[in-house]
Amino acid sequence: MDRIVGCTGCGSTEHALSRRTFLGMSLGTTLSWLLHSPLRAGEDVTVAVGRKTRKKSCILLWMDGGPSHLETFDPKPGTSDGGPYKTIPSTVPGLGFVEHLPRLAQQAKHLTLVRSMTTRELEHGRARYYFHSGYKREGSTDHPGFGSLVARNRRDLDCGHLPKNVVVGYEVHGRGFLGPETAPFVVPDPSNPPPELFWPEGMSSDGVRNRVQVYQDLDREFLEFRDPQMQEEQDKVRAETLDMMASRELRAFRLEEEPAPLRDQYGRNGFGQGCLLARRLVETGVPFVEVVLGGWDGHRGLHDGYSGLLRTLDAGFSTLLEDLKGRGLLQDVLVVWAGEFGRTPEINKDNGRDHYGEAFCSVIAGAGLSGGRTYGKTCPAGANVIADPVTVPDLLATACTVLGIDPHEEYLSPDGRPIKIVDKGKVIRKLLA
Amino acid sequence: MCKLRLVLPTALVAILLIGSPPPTAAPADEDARDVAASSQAIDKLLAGLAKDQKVLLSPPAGDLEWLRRVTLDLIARLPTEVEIRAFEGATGPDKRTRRVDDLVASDEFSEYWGNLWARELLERHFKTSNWISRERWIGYVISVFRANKPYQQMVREMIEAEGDARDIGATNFVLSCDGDAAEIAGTLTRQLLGISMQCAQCHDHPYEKWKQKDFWGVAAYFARAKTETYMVKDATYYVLKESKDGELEIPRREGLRVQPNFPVAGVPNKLSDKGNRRQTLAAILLLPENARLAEVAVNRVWRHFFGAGFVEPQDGFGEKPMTKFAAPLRRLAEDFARHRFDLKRLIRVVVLSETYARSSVTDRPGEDPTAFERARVRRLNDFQRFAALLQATGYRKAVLGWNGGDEAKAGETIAWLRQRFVDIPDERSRTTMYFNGEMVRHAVEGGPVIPGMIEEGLEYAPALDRLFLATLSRHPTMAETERLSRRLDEADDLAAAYKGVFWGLLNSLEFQTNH
Repeated sequence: MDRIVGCTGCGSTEHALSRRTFLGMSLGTTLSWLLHSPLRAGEDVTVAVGRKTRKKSCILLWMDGGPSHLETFDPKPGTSDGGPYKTIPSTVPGLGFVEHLPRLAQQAKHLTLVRSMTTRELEHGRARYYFHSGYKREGSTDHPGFGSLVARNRRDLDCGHLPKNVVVGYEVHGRGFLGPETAPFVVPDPSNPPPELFWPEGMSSDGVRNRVQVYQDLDREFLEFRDPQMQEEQDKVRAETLDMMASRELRAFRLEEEPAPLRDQYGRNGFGQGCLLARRLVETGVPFVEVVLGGWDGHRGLHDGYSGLLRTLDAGFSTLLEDLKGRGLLQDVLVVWAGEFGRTPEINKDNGRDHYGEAFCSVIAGAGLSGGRTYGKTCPAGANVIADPVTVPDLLATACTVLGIDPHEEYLSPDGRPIKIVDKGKVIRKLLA
Repeated sequence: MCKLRLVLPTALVAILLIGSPPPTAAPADEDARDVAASSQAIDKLLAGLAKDQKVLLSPPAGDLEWLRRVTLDLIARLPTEVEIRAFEGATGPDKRTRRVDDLVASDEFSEYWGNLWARELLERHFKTSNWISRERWIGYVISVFRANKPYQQMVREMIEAEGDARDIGATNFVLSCDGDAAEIAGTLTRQLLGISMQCAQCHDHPYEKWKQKDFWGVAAYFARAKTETYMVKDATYYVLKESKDGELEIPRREGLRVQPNFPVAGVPNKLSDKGNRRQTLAAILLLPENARLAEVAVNRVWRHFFGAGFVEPQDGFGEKPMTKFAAPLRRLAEDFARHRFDLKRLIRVVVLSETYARSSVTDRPGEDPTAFERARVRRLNDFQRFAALLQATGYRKAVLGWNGGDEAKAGETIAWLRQRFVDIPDERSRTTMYFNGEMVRHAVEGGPVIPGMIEEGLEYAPALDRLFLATLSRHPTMAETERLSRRLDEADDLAAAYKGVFWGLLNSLEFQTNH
């Protein structure tokens, strides 16, 4: 299958290469997503999931620090504390966007703006924990993050030996008590992937095998009368790591393979290039990638910091949508935009906004869901939810369902207690449409 | 707590044993005998338990095996080649005692233990707290070990302290919970009393006796701890104070006030109001009736050296710990208390015991030890792993070279590197660092060790010896020398073959574990 896919945005084939040549794969290799048929028009996602189609991947765009909903996706222009940003029209009639998100405004048809999020967790640590795990943090249990839950769910997936849970930036929430194979693989700088991943030039697979023999002999003797199981366990991790380092899919981490104009379009910064990396990874089959953009905690001088942040967000997020769509991937990827809480509708004495949880917003896109709409409503000042409240577990339960994970599935925590994947939380049917 | 040391004829050896200033003081013979007596008492109890369980005691570990283990456990690094040869050459029945005493007296010891305990005591708040001065807290705990402050005194300071987080290090224990009384109660009961009662924060504990009011009763001791803040540029700093009033109400049960209440049975619950609440709590914690304080400390130290405590998990003491090791636990705790909660002495008692000195070899491989009849094979922690790689790969030397011998600049580079190593959560990343990280690459591909050996024209056996000493801190066995010599002989490219061996050693589980 050697289709050249052009960018649906502009038709250019410059920034959409043939899938075959990009990944250097032959027809014989199993990239199951190539064989996947998209959802039948108008089909309910849950039905499709029931049909056991290929499961979808998830890209979480994590806005660390609590982005203000009034300055992002629930603007209240003209109100006393609505802030100085103007509102511009989007491609969806009646749906205005903040002036600093013009490119996203063009992509509005892909987006569902969930404006009725609500939470009681207002401390960063607790709120991040809650949003990533669906559980409140208590002293002893270490709940796994969403990425680890997805990785666990996809343990039988073959994505070319790449880690199934990747975070670009820094780790916000770890694997908790789940196994080490679900731990987030951290890529601090997407433009410079961890150099350890790539063997030095000239290292052949024979060369690697030869060296591996040395430690295997040593290990066998060392552990024979001590702890042979340790060798088994370690060999498993080491074999997976060796496979990863030998895999062609590892090239997904090499952003230099992308044309410069596309990289510019995403934005030459950690977030923008992180979005590009996320696209490459889900293209290879990685089921979960989190891209972190911090700096939203605007307690003072909020609007000074936000204009730059919003531009960064605009470039990365909009290009990601365009790019995924252009490659025919968007229906297989759930994109979630979220932060741990929102910010006060009143501007404080330092020209900032403080933590606020009564009302805030998140955005979902992709995965065959409808777009160009809002879900839930806040009052004119943006202070309270007046329709269709969505709690954090609700959003997670809904996301699970889209990804083919049963949020109410029970499994055992290390102290033997059965726990659900998402604690409470109801699936919001309307969002699945 | 320095005691005068008799300078033995092997003083030169003693100086070579550690890179730090020569030992100036020595425990008097009496002190050494006292420590030995304590060790033997524990050894006897544990040997008895092993016998009861029909478990064979493993033989003693060899000298170099012991040296590597004790160096890793006390100062978080591998012994240098110089130290290894010196120890091999040293004589006298007390050579291990002298080695331990020197290690425990070193700066490296207090830095390591200070850093470790600073993290353990604050639990996850160490990373997440917005109120603390991490540097000052770590500095405080390091100073506790450096001065060998009695453990009880440290506990008192941690509970009572008032002042600026950046000045008074001990304040950071209470401050670390960012004002959340429930968190303080949880952390304190877990870390100092070995009790896990945080379930009781919201409801009576499902199976232990703790009620909700027991939990909040502990929190109530902190009801009058108040913080003030001040700003410097854009940063906020915290000052911990104790106010004269304030009561604790259980959240979401407004009006239900709680009185301070100490949860350990047999310990008087209220003392006459000595000063403020935190002082009262500290006084109660230090009462002789509160044997729990010593037991938990002993358990922590034991766990450090054995990979498992007498009581597992560490916060599994409950009302009364269900453990078959009750006797040695109690004995060691009483010993600790009787010697004024002297931490360094406790550590010496444990490390100089026969139990600690046993090999990790066993007749039941694959089964966990059940009676401390042998040493466990344990993964290196972040500190040890980094130091081991830095040393074995020769990277430390290289960094120094690149900075023209400037120790300070080299130190900065190394500190920055260490950051990449601490808290790597992901097995895969850890593995790639061993397989292909910059330190390993330096050692194997770019560094001077292999070219040096070839240039010197070393024979296989001495070359292998050098590699084994640098990595595994031991000499190769005859069988290993034979097998690897054959590999070197059969290779087309000798340099490449040596690199393979070096790489294989660094990636062996023997290198990557403490055993």
